[in-house]
Amino acid sequence: MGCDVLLKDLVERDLFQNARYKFRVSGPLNTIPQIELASGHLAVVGLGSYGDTTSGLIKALTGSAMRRIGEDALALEDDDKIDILNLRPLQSLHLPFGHGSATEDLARRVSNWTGMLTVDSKHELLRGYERYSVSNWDGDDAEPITKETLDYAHLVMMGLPDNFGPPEASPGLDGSIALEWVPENHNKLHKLFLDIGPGSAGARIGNSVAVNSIG
Amino acid sequence: MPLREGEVAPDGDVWFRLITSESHISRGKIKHGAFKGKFLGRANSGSPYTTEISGRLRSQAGSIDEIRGHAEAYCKAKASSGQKFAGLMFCQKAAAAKVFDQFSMNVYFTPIASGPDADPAHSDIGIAGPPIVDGSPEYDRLVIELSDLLRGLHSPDQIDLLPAAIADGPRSTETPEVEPEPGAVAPDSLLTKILRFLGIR
Repeated sequence: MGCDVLLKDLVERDLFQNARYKFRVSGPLNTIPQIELASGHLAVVGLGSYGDTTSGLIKALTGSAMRRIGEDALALEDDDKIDILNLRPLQSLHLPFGHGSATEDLARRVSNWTGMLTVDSKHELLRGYERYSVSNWDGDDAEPITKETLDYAHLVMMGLPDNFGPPEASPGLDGSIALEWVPENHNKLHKLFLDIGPGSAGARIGNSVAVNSIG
Repeated sequence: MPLREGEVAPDGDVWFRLITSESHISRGKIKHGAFKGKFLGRANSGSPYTTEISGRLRSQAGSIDEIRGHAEAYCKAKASSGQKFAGLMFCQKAAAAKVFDQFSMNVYFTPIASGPDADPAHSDIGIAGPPIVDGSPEYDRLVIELSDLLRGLHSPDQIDLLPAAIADGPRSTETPEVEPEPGAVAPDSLLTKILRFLGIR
């Protein structure tokens, strides 16, 4: 199963299209998974196998025990409450959560973990983007990149998979932030563009061409 | 014969456009953030294309020094916050003339005689077909094409590398292919000439 499945899944679940990330935790892959809460779903994404660290974290967050159901998949003890995707090499586990006290409780517990985790270096790609916050920053009527778009881009960057390596970022003339992966090895991926914004429009995966045979 | 307004540029010509953000050039390629906003313009009614990308034609723009001077003057006049001449994006006309999906793309000579944007070397990449809406599948497709097509040069060090136009190149796409008259002798192809030279034909 390749990464094309993951991208399709992310789009279908609106994780990158319309969601506003409320909470997230990021850490070195293979040790601590990334956690994102969006659109009523908790997504746990990591490149490594789900091991004791992941199991322990999920148990701490959900209060539910996990059991291994395959080489790279876990399930909650109560299978009715979980939607499992077993993706290699980038694995994704989505837990449905509603809004309300349970979510607030989850947020509190996620916050307790943040002090232990490492800030993701992907933020470096957006260093200095504050200079695009003015109209006409290109001298040819470019739209400003708002703080809202930039803040959202930071959130999206932290949740991006690392399969294709770090993206390149560029300021969009329409006030968006344009991410793209153009690997040298076109056998795996031709190009992948991800546009963030402008404004509060969220993110859009576009121009995904021939994504297959990953991993 | 000099190029006339509205004509398709010769195959040997080069279309280019100013870049004012260094962030849009990477490893000789143009990042797709540069293709957003007002990069794509709606063509005037009566044009043979519906969408246009403004630029300049190498054959009409003079020397590299003149091109550099024009770009610097443009930035000085237009930029509001100290923008500078960051580089150029460019493509060979022959590579730009292509058909993809329901679109047909080509390079047109469109000089602007007067006004603040007067430019005797002005040129459009014109895209014929349905109007392109930002964010649509057609837009995504065009962005892919442009990303593959256009190359970038940093200023000031790389501007000298802008290719020169090859004078009097053919205008293959403005002249439809015509079947030879019955009995007419077709001109030798390069392969035929090589084979004849080798004594094979």
